Amino acid sequence: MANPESKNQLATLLVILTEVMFFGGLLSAYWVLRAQIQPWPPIGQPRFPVGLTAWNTGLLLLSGWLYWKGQKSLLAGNKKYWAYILLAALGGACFVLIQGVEWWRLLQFGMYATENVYGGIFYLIVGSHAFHVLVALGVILYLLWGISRGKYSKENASPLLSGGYFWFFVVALWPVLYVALYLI
Amino acid sequence: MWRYTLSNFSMWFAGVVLVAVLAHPGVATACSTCFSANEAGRLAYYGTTVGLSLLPLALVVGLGYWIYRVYFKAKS
Repeated sequence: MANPESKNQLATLLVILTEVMFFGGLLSAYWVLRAQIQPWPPIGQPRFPVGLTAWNTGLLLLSGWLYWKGQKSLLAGNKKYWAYILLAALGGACFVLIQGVEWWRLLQFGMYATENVYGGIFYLIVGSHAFHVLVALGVILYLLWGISRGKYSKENASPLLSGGYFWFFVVALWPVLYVALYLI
Repeated sequence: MWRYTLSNFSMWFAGVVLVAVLAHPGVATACSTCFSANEAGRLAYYGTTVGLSLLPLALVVGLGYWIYRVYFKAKS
């Protein structure tokens, strides 16, 4: 490999590849189960909040864009790049919070993971994604701690770029899940 | 010494797992078409099988391209 920085990013990419297969397997299970149960959603089960989640999807995409702007600012030598990273983290945290509210409402409607396949596969896929968002937020918080200590610069941007790979993966995955679970 | 201990433990652990599996047999219904044979289910099963077979190949090609791009950029 060309340099140690590229190695960091390659390691992150390898993790992401395994995650792609993991979510590919979950989505495959969803489609196979869904094809066998008619009607879908099953009678008596609540519909997912399409509108609220659309706004939430926009918020997560905005967060990804902010992170990208932060990276660009760092590479351009702009000292204020940390503000973009901080805003990206806040956007991600709001996404998880809104999703928590959504789950709470679904539970109020009586949709439980143990009730049937409909609830089980929904909570499994969306919960797995939410867990990944939380892990990615932990990574960004760690990066923000490093930023506060002045660890990163235009010449030493690799950790931020690697963290960005993971954050972009989490952000890009959600619209796919949204379309598959909420819209189709 | 360490390798000898690890090997003993591995054999012991494998034996316990084997006994546990053999002692609790059950019906395996892992194949989605075994318990539901409708047309939509079969199509979804075949489609996802093709998808999951091609996905790793696409990922490996993508990774290869990324490595090539980084290496090429570093050389130039």
